[in-house]
Amino acid sequence: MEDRRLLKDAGWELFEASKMEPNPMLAEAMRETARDLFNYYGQTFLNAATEIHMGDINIAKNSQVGAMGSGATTDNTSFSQTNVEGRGDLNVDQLAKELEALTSKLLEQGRTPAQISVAGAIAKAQIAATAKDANAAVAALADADENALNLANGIGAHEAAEALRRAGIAPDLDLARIQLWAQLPQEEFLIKEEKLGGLVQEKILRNLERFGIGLIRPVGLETSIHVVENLITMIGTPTQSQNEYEGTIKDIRPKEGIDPNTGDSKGDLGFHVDGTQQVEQPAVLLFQYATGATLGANSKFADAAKIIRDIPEVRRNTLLVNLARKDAATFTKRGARHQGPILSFSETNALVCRIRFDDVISLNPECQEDFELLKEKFSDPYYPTVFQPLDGDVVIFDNWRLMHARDEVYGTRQRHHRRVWFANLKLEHQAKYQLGIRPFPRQVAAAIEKQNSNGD
Amino acid sequence: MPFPQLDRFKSQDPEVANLLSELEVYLDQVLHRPPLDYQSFYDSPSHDISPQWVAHELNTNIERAYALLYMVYQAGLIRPRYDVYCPDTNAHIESYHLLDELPSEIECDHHDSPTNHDKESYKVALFFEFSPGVVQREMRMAV
Repeated sequence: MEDRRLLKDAGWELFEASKMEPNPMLAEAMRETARDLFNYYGQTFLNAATEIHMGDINIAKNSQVGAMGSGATTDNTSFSQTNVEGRGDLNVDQLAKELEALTSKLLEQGRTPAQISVAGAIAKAQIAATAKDANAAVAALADADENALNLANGIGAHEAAEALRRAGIAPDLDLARIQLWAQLPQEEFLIKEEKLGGLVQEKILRNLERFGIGLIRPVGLETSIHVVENLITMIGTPTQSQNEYEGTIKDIRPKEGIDPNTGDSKGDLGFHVDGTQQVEQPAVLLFQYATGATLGANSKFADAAKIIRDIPEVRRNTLLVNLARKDAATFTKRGARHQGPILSFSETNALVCRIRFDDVISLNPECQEDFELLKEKFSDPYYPTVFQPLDGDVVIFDNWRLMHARDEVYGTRQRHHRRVWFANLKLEHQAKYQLGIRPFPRQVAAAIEKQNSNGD
Repeated sequence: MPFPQLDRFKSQDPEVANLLSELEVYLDQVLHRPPLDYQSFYDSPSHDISPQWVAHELNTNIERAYALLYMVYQAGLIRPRYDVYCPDTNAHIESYHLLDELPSEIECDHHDSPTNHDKESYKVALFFEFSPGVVQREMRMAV
């Protein structure tokens, strides 16, 4: 006698057997029988699988159907070899219900082979959850995708979302190891340390990757150039010049009467990235605030990745591709001139944002509308994080992703800070830490790349 | 040729034809087991068609047995029967002919006090039995 659980398992066992059955007629009959059982148990996978089979597409190779209960075998070993830690506190009953709803929702969205394959993985997980086998459910979900996770979150299927995350399905932001932000609280990216050792290096790089910015407040260390030199060795390769200045560490003391498009000016500096008129825009910047102003001189940073992400997707993608044209903008400053895309890929495949909102930039009229949209967004006080640095603070930030600005400098005290441009992170860090605007779909990346090189 | 309804399957594939012919012999034996009156035909377990026994008789695996029985079912000769059993005592509680008829909860009198078993706990065994039309025709022929 078979018990109910085995009757349910019979669906999978039959489906598995059908894949190995050499006689097509018998294989088809096995699938039909399995489909009946699946229909009863609330599954839709077998219907889908049968449809796919009829289209001569082998869903089986994607579905990785695993053995449930006793006896069932699989010709695909990835299920059995996946060692997933099942969470003890997953509510399997709730999970089973949510997975069933999720399968239906997914199939409502469409029935492409990929969608059906994902629905199959979820249906398989549902069976495991019904059998109260959390480990098997999580393992089965490894074949689902990010869309399923987003959908689970969208319909409030929290147990399913948790199981999907445990199966290694990650949203695009997690994969990109990025946290998009608006008005990021200072304590989120502040690192207070007495020693600038290895641990600090890791914290800085992690903040740099995640938030695009790290604020280091050395405790008990003199505000000297040695701190900067020490940090340079930890972070990356400094450029040997900064515009007309020759050297790796530039001393900046804002003065009156200078156009407000440079750190040397006391005037209000609008949002910009540094080095726009250079062929290679520096990847990372370091500022050491040696002496702060008595009034004003608040530092502002805004996350271009967040601002771009907040634009509705269709509009966003059009903007990203249009601003990637190779004649999007011309940057002219103190005799240096560069024409190129506003958005382009670095040699390390990071998406670089080269933009500023002052008279250094002149635009291709075709890009004016998109530029104005970004300008409007950057002037929205919702986005920037604003703080007045303390003497001795060092800020290191992603110059491909973050834009920076500074209020006008007031007071009688001479403000002094040191600046370093990094061409890139150290080679050993490049493989580990991501920089630049992200994430975006592959298709958009391809379109941007095509625009960057259009006509070459 | 006891079941001409199977000819349409047999004509499609020689291997399936051979297996169905063997199955026909077995089914014919089951159909003619006593008792041969309609009233008690379905009450007698001797007329049950078990996929395990079919696999055994045809010297094949259970999945192929299911596949062959599916064809026989498609031909209208047999119908599935789902027997529900008590999970604690393994005693039979009720039988159904459609999966959809299986109740979400079933009352079980195989305990000291009235007990209900839900769908998650009670056991189900799948058997096949001859369709009423086949049995009635067989009874008429026997008369």
